[in-house]
Amino acid sequence: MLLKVEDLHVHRGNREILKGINLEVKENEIHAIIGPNGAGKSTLAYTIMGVSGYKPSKGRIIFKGVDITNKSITERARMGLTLAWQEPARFEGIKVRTYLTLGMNEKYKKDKETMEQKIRESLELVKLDPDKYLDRYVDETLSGGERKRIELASIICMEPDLAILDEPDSGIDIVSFDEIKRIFDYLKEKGCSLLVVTHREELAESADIVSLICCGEVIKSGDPKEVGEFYKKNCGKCYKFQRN
Amino acid sequence: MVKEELMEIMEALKYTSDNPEKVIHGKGPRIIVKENKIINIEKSEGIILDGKEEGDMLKVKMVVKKGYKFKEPIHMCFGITKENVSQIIDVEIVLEENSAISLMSHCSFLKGKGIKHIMNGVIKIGKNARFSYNEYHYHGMEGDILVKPTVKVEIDEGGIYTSNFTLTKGRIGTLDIYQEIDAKKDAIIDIMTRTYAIKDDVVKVDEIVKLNGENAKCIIKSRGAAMDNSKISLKLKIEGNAPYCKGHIDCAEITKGNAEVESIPILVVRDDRARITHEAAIGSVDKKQLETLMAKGLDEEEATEIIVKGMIGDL
Repeated sequence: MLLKVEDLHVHRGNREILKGINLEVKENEIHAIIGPNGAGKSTLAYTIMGVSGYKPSKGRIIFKGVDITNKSITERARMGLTLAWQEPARFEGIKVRTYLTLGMNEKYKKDKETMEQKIRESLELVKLDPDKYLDRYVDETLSGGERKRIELASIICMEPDLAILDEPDSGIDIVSFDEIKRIFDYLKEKGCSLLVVTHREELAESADIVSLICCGEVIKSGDPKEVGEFYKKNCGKCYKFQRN
Repeated sequence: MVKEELMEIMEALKYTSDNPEKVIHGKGPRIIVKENKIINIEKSEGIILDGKEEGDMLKVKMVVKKGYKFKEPIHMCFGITKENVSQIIDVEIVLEENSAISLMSHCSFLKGKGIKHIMNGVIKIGKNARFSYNEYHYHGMEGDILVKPTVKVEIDEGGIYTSNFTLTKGRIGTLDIYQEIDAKKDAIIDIMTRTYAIKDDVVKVDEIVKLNGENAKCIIKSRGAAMDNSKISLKLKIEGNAPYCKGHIDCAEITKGNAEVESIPILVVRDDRARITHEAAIGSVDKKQLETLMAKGLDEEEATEIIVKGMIGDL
C-alpha cells in the first residue's frame, strides 16, 4: 500500500472537519475523492501533505510504510509525495522554465539537454506552447487556467510516487476534460499514483477507485461508476448536502 | 598603466554585468571611471560625451542630439577598486527632442571599505525623447560604504523615463537615494528599485514624482528584502497636479529576523480629474508560496531564497 489514512480527525477552530477518515491508495492507482463543496475534500488533501494549520487531532497517515503524520511538508515531498493546490500560488520574478525545474525528478537533471526536453514535453502535454510560455513569469499575468496547467506540468516534471491534485479541472475550460484524462494516463504510465480531489463525476469516473466524502466522512468507496451513480442518485437531495 | 586599470575595472564589472568585455571594449559611446580618474571616453556621432576631473570631483556631461536613437546600450562605469576612496560625480544628461538611449550605469565598488560614492545628477528629457536608465550596483562584502545618488529629472511633453536600480548582491552599506521628477503633458515614468539588505545595511529611498502635465502617467515600484538587522525606509510620493494624470505606487518588501521596513506612500491630488493609487505589502514570505515550493521538496530556507530572489529580480 502506498498511502494509508487511518481514522483521521481534523479540526479547524472549534469545528471538526474530518471525522475519522479511512482511505487507501495503492501503487499505480488513480483514486478520486468526490463530494460536494465543504465536504472536507481539500482539508483531507492539505492534511495528507502536511500544510500548516491542518494538523490531525487524531489518526495516522502512513506513506510507503512510514508514519508521516508528524513529518514536515519537505520531508513528505522528499519521500515522493506532492500536492497541486486548487488555486496555485503566483510567484513574481520566477520564469516558467525555472519553476518547472524546482523539484524536477533527478533522472531528468543529468544534463541541460535532457532537462530542457522534459520541460518542453511537460508543457506540450498540458497544451501550452513551450516557445510562448518558457520565458513568461509564474505571476499574475497568467490566467487561472494557464497557472493550473503549469502546475500540472510541474507534476509531470517531478514524477512523484503520489500526487494529490486538488480540483485539477476547476478553472480549466470544459473541453479539456479529455486532456486531463490524458495527463492522468501519462502520469500513471510513468509510475505515479494520483489522489484526485474533484466534485465532478465525469472526472471521478476516469479513476480506478472513487471515495465519496460528505460532512468529513467517507460515505462510500469503490467502483467509479457505482459510486458515481450513488452520488448522482442520492446526494443531490440529501439534507446533509443542503447543509454543506 | 591604462591597460592595468582597465583590467581592474573589468574585474569589478564581473559583479554588475554578464559581459564585462563588451562593456569595456564593445561598440558605441561609453565612459569609464576608476576612483577619481576618467580612464576612457568613447564618443560617437549624435552624442556629445564629455568628462573632466576638477579637484576631487568628476564632471560628466552627455547630450544626445535631436532625433538620434541608439539601439545599443551606452555604458557608464564607475569603479572603485581601493579602500578609503570618495568618488564625487556631477552628471548632466540631456536628451534632445525625439532622441532615445538606453544607459547602463555600472557602479562596482569591490573593496567596500571606507567608500563614498556621491552622485548629483540632472537629467533633461526632451519632447518625445525616450530615456531608459539601468543602474547596477555592487558594494562589496564589508558594508562600510555610503552611496548617495541625488537626481533631478525634467521630462518634456511626451517624454519617457524608465529607471531601474538594482543592488541585490553583497552588502549595501548605506544607500540614500533621492529622486525628484517633474513630468509635463503625456510624459511616462516607470521607476523600479530592487534591494537586498543584510546585516546592518540601511536603505533610504525618497522619490517624488510631480505629474504637472495633462495625461502624464507614472508608476513607482519597489521590491526589496530586509534580513538580519537591516533597515529599509521608503518615502514615495506622487503629486497629481494636472487633468487626467495617473500615478500608482506599488511596494512589496519581505522582512526576516530583526529587520525593519518602513513604507510611506504619499499621494497628493490637486486636480479632481487626476487619479493616484498605491498598494503595499510588507511582511514575511507568503505561506502559500513557501508551502508550494516545499511540496516540491525544497526546505524552508531554499524556498525562501527562491521567492525572495524572484521578487527582487535576481533569478
